[in-house]
Amino acid sequence: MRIAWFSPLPPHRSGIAAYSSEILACLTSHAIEAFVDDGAGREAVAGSRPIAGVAVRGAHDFVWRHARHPYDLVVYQLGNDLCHNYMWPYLVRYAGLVVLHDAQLHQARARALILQHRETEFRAEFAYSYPEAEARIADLTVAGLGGALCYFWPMVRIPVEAARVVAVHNAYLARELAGEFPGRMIRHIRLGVPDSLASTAASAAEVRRRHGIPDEAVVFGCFGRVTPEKGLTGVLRALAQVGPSVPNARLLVVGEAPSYFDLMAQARELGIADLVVTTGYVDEAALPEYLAAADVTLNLRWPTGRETSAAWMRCLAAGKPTVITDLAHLTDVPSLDLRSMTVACTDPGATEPVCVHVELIDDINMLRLVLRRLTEDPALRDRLGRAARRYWAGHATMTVMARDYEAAFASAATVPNPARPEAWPAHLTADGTATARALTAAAGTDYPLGPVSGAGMTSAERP
Amino acid sequence: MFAEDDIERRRVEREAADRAYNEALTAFDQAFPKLPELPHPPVAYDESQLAALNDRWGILAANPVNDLRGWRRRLALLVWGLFGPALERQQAFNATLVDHLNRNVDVHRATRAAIEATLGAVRGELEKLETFHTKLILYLQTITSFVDTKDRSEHIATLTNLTNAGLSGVADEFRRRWESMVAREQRYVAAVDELRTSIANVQQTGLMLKRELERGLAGATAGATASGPAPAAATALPVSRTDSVNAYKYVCFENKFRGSEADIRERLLTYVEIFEGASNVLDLGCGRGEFLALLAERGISAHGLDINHEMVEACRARGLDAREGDAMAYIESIPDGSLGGLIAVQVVEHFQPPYLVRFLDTAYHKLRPGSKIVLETLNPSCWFAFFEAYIRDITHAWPLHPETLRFLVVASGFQRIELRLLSPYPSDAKLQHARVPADAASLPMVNLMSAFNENVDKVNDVMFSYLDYAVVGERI
Repeated sequence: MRIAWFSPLPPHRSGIAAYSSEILACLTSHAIEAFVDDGAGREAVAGSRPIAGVAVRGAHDFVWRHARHPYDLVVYQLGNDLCHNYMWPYLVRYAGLVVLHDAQLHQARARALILQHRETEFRAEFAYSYPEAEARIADLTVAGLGGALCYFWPMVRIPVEAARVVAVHNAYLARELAGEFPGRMIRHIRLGVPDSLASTAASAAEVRRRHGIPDEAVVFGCFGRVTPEKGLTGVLRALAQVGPSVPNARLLVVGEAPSYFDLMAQARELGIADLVVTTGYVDEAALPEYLAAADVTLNLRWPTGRETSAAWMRCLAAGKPTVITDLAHLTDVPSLDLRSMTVACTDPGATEPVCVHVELIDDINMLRLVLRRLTEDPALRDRLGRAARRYWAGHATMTVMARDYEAAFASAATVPNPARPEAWPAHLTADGTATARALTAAAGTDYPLGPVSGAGMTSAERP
Repeated sequence: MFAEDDIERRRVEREAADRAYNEALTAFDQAFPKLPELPHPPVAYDESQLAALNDRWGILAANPVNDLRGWRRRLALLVWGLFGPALERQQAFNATLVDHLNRNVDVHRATRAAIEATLGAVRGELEKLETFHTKLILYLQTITSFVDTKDRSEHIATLTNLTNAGLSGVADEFRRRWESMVAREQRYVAAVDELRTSIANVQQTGLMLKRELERGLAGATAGATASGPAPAAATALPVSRTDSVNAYKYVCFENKFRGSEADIRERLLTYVEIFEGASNVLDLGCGRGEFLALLAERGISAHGLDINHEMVEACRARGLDAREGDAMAYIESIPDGSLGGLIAVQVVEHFQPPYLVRFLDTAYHKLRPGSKIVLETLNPSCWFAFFEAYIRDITHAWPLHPETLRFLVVASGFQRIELRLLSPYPSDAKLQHARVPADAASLPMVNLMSAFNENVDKVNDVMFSYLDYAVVGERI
């Protein structure tokens, strides 16, 4: 199958960039061309890290290439980040497989449009997505006051309606979207990650020595960009409360922190700075040794866009006991409730916990239990780690994900392009000729511009 | 969020500050002295005699003696000798005085001009001061509203930020709680499903044991009958619906009282969705086949059973699969798990209780897992339905209260029970509230009317509620 694949790619520091480079390496039976954001210049194309068998191109080249030699399928890796904005003009015109990494696009879409002074278009998209909602809610976002309210209006309607098939990485979200958008094809692609242990040649002891962590310490590691979403403020508070009773517990925070979030300042304020180690940005190649140095990993996340965390999967693959936030879309993973030491799962037959969960409404209490119990109980850590590794092997390998992708490709290739809803905001269906006419008129010419008629393009695709 | 007393305290403080400011402004305004009445410049120097004085200051001739001769000269010299010095001094004095006066004319003029100019300047400065004062007052008055509006806009911005932060915080807190509840719900639903399945298994086991026990007892009774005296009282056999009524008469009865075929069809439409996707549905008491036809239109395979020959013939005439026979006898004859659904509309009230219980137990086994049972009947808890409909039909055997039928269905092993109340009694035909004329309203009258209307509601609730109901269950 000849596939156009829209996604950021490394060295872009986005999780989806790493994800794409990993899965593309497993889909080599297809002729895949990756289209990256070249809005800022061709450097993005030239600078992309090569992926065997995949040609990397600038998104601006997609239209003529597709017109000349149509792709069998266009795949969009869409998430709630500005780096995905460049895909929107294509995904609303060239229907394909939309892999929705976040079921929450409000913030990124709003930011992208507002930065381009297209507030009116943002309002139009909001009004279309939520015709019964108060229109002035969009004004809150425009004024920069959306905050947590944005999560009530995730704004995924347009990409879902534009897609032939929508794929998501958890079954709960697939069910939710299918219920919200009846008649749309929603597929669940299990999220896979490479074997984390395969590349671990590093010495955990060396990492500990480097950061002054005693050998006997039980290290709770947190990986990735250090933001409030990682729940570390709660972890620090819990650590401050139980610190004296678990003197061996240490918190190792691996990742760069934005200027507005000073974790060490919080730790100093709580008097536990000596229990916390921050590394700052760590190169991807060095991550395995840091992962090896951790006894437990904290994979907390709030708020959520119903994303499935690849970072968490990597920890499972590494056989680490993991601690996650108790989120609705993760309830099919057997998790341990440390308050009752019972296994919680939507599969009542599940008896082996894969991880430990922390409820949002009882987080500090449960984090205290996590820190105390997992520090003092090496047998439990060991049991959880082995179960984590087994879970990864059964549910989250690259082979599993590649298989699901193949099925999604087959499905999306046969599904006809959906009809564009009549009520779509006008800017989504504008073909650009009006702008071109204005430009030519400004240049003093009157060129008879009309819609492009691309070979092999359907009427729905025609820009 | 401010407390109410806090808001009041701030209002009082604000008013006091306003008052103090206005009083200070008024005092400031009044403290500025009124523009003083400045003196006029002195009158102009009087020069009216100056010319005469200049003319007359010389009292001596230029050389009074020189022109005289003789005695006159001598006399003049004598007189001059006597008076001349005094006259010369007088003239010198006059000359000095006039010279002095002449010299001071300019000074006087300049002095007056200077005084006049000074007064003009002072007056001008005072006027400027007065203007400045006026403008200062205006400025102070203007700055009040300026500060007020500035404060207000900053206050609004602060409030907006606070409100937004608060709203965002509340939204986040709400979502955290919601998320936790949904996560718990996911697991509870799974647990309930498992529990439901377990209960179904237990119920099924109980029913099987019951059937086995009944069979064993029946075998024992048969053995005893064959070998000994007959029992004092045989178990009552179920009574079927039209033993005592001629079949054709019931058709006529149905036509007269149940409503037209179109009415019935309209009413039954609501049940079609329950059997969507099912197959081999049994319509027990299929009557004229209205529901069978609806199912056939949607491609749902079904067959009907009716004890009334004329009804069955009516169905067959429409090409519908209908069979004649007794309900119990028929479902006992078909294999377990062979039915994809069962509906009995206005049928179960024709069954005696033991027959109904046995029928439900058997129906449970004949239905496939996942299939539905629908039992619609008259609602005897509605008095109108009981007196006007139930007892009108002489083939009705036993009125079934909704809760009774629901219990029996649950007790037979069915789950996911739904009770649907149907055929609401028309509102305009119910007892109506009394209305008190506005001009006649007095408290006793209002109380009386209120009590009366409450009683109307109570009577309506028991007499004119829903004429029919249906119990829907599922075999898990």
